[in-house]
Amino acid sequence: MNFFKKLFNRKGYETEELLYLLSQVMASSLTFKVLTQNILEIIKEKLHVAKVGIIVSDTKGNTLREVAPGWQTPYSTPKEKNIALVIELKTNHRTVGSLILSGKSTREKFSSQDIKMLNILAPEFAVAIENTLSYEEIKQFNETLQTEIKNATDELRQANSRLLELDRLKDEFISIASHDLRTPVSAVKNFLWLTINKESKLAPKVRDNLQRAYNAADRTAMLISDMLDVSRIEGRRLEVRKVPVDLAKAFSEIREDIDVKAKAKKINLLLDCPANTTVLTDPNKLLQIINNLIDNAIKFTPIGGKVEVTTKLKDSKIMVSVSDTGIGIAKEDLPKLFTKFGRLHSSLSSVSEVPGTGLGLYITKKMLDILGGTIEVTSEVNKGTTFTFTLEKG
Amino acid sequence: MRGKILLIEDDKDTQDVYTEVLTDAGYTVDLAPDGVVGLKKAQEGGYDLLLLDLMMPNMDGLQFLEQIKKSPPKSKNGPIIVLTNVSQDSIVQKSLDLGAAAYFIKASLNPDQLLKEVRSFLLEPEAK
Repeated sequence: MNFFKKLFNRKGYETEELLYLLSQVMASSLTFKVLTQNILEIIKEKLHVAKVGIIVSDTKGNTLREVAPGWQTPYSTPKEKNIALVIELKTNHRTVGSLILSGKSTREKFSSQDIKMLNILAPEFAVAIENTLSYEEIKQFNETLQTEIKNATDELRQANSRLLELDRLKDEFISIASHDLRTPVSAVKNFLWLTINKESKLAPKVRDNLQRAYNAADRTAMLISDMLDVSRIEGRRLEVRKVPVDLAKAFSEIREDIDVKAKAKKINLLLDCPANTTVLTDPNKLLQIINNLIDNAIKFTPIGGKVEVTTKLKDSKIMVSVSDTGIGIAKEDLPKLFTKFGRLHSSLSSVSEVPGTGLGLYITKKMLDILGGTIEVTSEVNKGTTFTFTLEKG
Repeated sequence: MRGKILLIEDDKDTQDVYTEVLTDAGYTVDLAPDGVVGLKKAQEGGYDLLLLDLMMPNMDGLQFLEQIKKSPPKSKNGPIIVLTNVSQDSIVQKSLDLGAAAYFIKASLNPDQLLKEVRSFLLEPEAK
C-alpha cells in the first residue's frame, strides 16, 4: 500500500480508498460474477466512468465471458463508438482478457494517474479473475463428480433392488414349484400305496412293479425336500429356533419312525440316552439330523447288523454318536462326504441299489453349522462307520 | 369309536385318498373344499380333529387359523393338524404360532403314517 500511496497521492486522488476497496473485493469474491461486478462498480464510481466492462478471452482471443452492462455488442460495431480505453488484463503466463472503459461522465480525459493506476491494477485483476475461473472450474468438476457418484449410486441401488426382486421371484418360484411338484407326487404315492396295501389279489409281478413305482415316487418326494433344504441353506433362509429339547424323548420319537426300516433289515437298533438330558436346539432340525444319520446307517449296514446311537457329555457339549457295522467308507472318500451330491464313487457299485439323493450329509452338516454344532466321522471299510455330532447342552 | 374329523382340503386326489383311508379306519370324515366352507363348519364345532391344507382358494389355511382363533366355535373342536406341501420354515412356524398342533408334509407322509398321527392325536388330544 505504501508503494501505491507514494505513487498516487500527489494529486490528492482518493487512491488509498480505491485500492483498499479493490483489494477487499479481490480477496473476498469467490465467483466470477461477484468479482467482476464489484470491480466494475468501484471503477465506475471512483473514476467517474460512464461504462466499464470486462471481457474474458481464451488464448486465441475468442471471447469466453463478458460483463459489460450498457455496452453495445459486439464492440467493433459502428454503433459502439464510445470505447475510450482498453487495458489488457494479463497475468505472468497469459492474457486473460481486457478491461474496457468509455469516456468519463465528467467529459474529462483520463489522467496519466488513472492510466498508471489501471495498468498497475490490471495484473491483479487478471490473477483474481483467473482464480475465480479456476474456482468455478473446480466447483463445476466437483458438481459433475457428485452427479456422477449419485448416478452410479442410483444405478447400484437399482441393480440391487432388481437383484432383490429376482431373488424374491426365485424363492417364490422354488416354493410354488416345489408345492406344485409335491402335490402330484403325493397323489402318485398315495394311490400306489392304496393299491399295494388294499388290493389282496395282485399278481406278485404286478405287486413288485407297483412297489417299485411307489419307491421311485417316494424318492422323488425326498429329492424335492432335499432340494428345498439346499436352496434354503444356500439362500441363507434356513431358520432355526433353539429351545430346550429332551433328548431321550426325541430319541423315542425317532425310534417310532425308523423302527420299521430297522426291522425290515433285521438290524439291531439301539438308542441310548440318559434320562433328563436336555439340549438347546431346533427340535425339527434335530429330528432331521438324527433321522438322516440313522437312515444312512441302516442303508449301508448289511442285514442282521447293528446300529447304535449313544450320547455323552464332554466339555459342556452333548456328543451324539451314530455307529453302524456297515460297509464303511474308504479313507480317500472321507473328505467329499459332506459335499453336495457327494455320494461316493468307490462305494457306488456296491450300493447303487440304495436310494438316496446324495444331499443328506451335506444338509446335515450345514444344519449343524447353523445350530452351532460340529460333525466328525471315523470309518473302517467292511467294519463300520461312526458319525459324531455335538449339541449345545440345555 | 370316537372320531369325527373335518378335512379341509381343495385337492381332489388328496380328498379321495384321505377320506378312504380315514373312513376305512372307522372315522367319520366331513369334507370342506376350501377355507371358507371349512371355517363355517369348524365354527359349528364338535370335531375331534381338523386336518387343514394351507394352499386353498378363497381362504387359505393360515387365514383359516387366524379366523378360528378370533371367533372360537360354539362347541369345542379337537386339535388342528396342518397337512400341506408347503414347507417354508416361516410358514411352518406361523401355523404353529396360530394354534396348529402339528405340521406334516403330505408328500412325505404315506396313508399309514397319516393314520398313526391321527390315532395319536385322537387318543391323547392334549398331549402334543
